[in-house]
Amino acid sequence: MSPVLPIREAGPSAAFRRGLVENASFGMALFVFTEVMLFAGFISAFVIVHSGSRTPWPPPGQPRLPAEQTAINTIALLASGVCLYYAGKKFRGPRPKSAAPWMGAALALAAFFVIFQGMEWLALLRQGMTLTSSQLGSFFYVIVGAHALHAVAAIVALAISWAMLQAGRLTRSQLGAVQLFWYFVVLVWPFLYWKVYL
Amino acid sequence: MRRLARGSAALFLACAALIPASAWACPFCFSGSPKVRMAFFGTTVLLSLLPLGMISAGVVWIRRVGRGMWAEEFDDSDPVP
Repeated sequence: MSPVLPIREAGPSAAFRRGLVENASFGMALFVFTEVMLFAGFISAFVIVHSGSRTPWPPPGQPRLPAEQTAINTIALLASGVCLYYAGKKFRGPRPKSAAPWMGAALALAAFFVIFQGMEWLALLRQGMTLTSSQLGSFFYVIVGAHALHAVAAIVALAISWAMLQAGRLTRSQLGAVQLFWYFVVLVWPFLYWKVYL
Repeated sequence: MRRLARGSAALFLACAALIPASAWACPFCFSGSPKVRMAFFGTTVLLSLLPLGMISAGVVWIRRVGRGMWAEEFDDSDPVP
């Protein structure tokens, strides 16, 4: 038996009509779901090859991955996620434009992360670690490269959102989708760092 | 005629399923060592449970938010005409 509900003369409220999830956020959530599985597949393959390796790790002739320097980079990436969280809070408050400095900080930290990663790649390439030099090199460039590609895409999305915020055209739905994507990029990184670098 | 074509295709697929080639594990990946077997087991668990966990978390979240919205929309304190 269905419950008898009180009928509002004005009809459903705007929030109720909008639904549970914004369309952009829902679409992004589905995309992130598939991306999580992609990285889970990468990590699984890496773990199996690493555990089955009959040679020392890293393989002979290959440099050790710079775990200490990358730890600083990891902190910068996590801080970027925190900044974007506060940007979202400010945006949903009474003065949406006050989110701009937080979003700018998130963008700067994200750019720092990608530039630092690029410098790290150059150093490793100079030391002889390439995509074909060893299994470690192959996995490192594929896994970390895929993450860097996502980070660059997210930075572009953040930059566009920041410009739209300045112009007063950014919507909650758009910011929600960008936030979701950036949180994915931020939160997947510690797992990659743990498995690949440590 | 179309029925015959469909039936033939189904019969062909059924016959093909009966003659699989031997499946050989990749000689590189396969190893009897406990470390590798544990890695296979762990990653199988991860790849099996991760999607289920994410879907479950999504369902729980939608249910929680939906209930909140429903309660807010059809609040008992609303004046019933």
